Amino acid sequence: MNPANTSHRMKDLEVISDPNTIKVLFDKIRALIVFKYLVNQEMTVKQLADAIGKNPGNVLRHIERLKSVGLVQQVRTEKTTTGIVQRYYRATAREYRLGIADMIQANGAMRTYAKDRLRNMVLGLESYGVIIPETKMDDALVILEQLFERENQISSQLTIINAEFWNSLSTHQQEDASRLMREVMIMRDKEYLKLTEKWCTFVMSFMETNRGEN
Amino acid sequence: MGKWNLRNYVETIKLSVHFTRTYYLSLFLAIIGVFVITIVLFLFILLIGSIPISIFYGPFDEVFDVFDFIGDTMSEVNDVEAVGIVLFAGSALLAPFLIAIGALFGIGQEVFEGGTATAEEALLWYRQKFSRLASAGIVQFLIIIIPIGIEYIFATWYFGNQMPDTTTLTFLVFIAALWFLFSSGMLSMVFPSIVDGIPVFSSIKHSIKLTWKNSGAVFSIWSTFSSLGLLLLGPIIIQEFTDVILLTDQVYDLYILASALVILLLLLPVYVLSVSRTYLLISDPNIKEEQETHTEGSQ
Repeated sequence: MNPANTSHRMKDLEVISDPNTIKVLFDKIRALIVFKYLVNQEMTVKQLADAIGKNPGNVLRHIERLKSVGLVQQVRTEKTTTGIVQRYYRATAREYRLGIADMIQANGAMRTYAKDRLRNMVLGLESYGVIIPETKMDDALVILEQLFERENQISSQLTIINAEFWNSLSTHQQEDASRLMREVMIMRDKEYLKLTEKWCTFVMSFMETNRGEN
Repeated sequence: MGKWNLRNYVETIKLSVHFTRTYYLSLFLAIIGVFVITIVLFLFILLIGSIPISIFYGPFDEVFDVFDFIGDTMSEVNDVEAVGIVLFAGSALLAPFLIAIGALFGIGQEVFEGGTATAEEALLWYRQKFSRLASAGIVQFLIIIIPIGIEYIFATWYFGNQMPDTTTLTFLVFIAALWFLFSSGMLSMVFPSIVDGIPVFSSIKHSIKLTWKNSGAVFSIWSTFSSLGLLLLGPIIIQEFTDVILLTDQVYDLYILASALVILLLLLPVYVLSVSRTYLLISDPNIKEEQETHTEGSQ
């Protein structure tokens, strides 16, 4: 693994809320470039083209689009012994999440998608005996949206400072380190704790009600 | 990028010639492809431009008569208006050619970053970057031509209807040519920047900044190719603008055709590859030389 340029720090989590960025990722090749390859390692256009089985020109144009929306960055340039100039690219973050709050603020299909996703999450709680009535569904969605938004905000502030060391870790180690560090950060945040308390009370109140009814 | 030295220069030219030979068929097809589209676009712009003019000033026998109209109009209007016409008509008519040249830089970057070249990609760059390349081309044209236009306005204002003496005229032409070569060189990194995903005005700034910091790199490449171009066009310039007759009429026509083909099919691809490599080298100030142990799987 090649050492990364320390001037290009990688975020632990990036929240994607810009509809243009989401649109760019609708392309399967671009999604593959970012989520399969560039979140894990820095690669050249040639290496990506070989890995994906596409022609380098095609990959270069995809990289250019991904760069333009800030999902990919050029981390270093290397001149080979044959005089070829190789640019190494990497994702700007280790993990990407869709910004639920921004999506809900948006119009059209994106808003519907975000609302449906949150709603389905809440409905899924029924398997644990938590049945939230339709009249209280909006309240649940608002609290959950705030909670996710805050979690994303805190997690996206985490930066991988030692990229060289990070690259030397196994995927499991990377995931564990990321999870531990995120937990530390969110548990120190008063606003997040307040929202967690609110959500727990909300959920537990319906769990008790349901138990009482049963 | 460290200090630009003779080794970098020779390596850039050598590799560009080498890759032009290796991928010549792709480059040739790409050039033909983009220029066919360009000529269609050019004729379309000409047609669109000639419609309102023919409505107001009467119909043209053929579409190219619009050039005669522009020439006649320029001789009748004052100098400021004439410069305005040149800027407006020049921007509109040159834009398709500038997009074509810009699209070729996509291939240039592909050659050095991907180690391959396909003619189809030039057309895809043409489509993907159409508006940015057109805008960047027009802005470059205006930056290069406006100061020359201002010089012309001042000269005609100062000398009135009198023709300036030969020394003054030579000086004025020299200044204009110097600005043309200097500004074109300074803006030679605009198209590679556009291909690299930088917006139009940022590309202009980026090109100037890169030239400022790496003047040796940018101008050594630019002066090499502009000198070769001038060398090829020299006999035509001398014959057109002086009384010296270097070539007979038949040879002269053949020479024009041959030099145009050499510039378009040989000089242009090598130039595009040289500029693309130079851009890749100078756009990262922290570029590193690859160690032998890294070669496996890199290229």
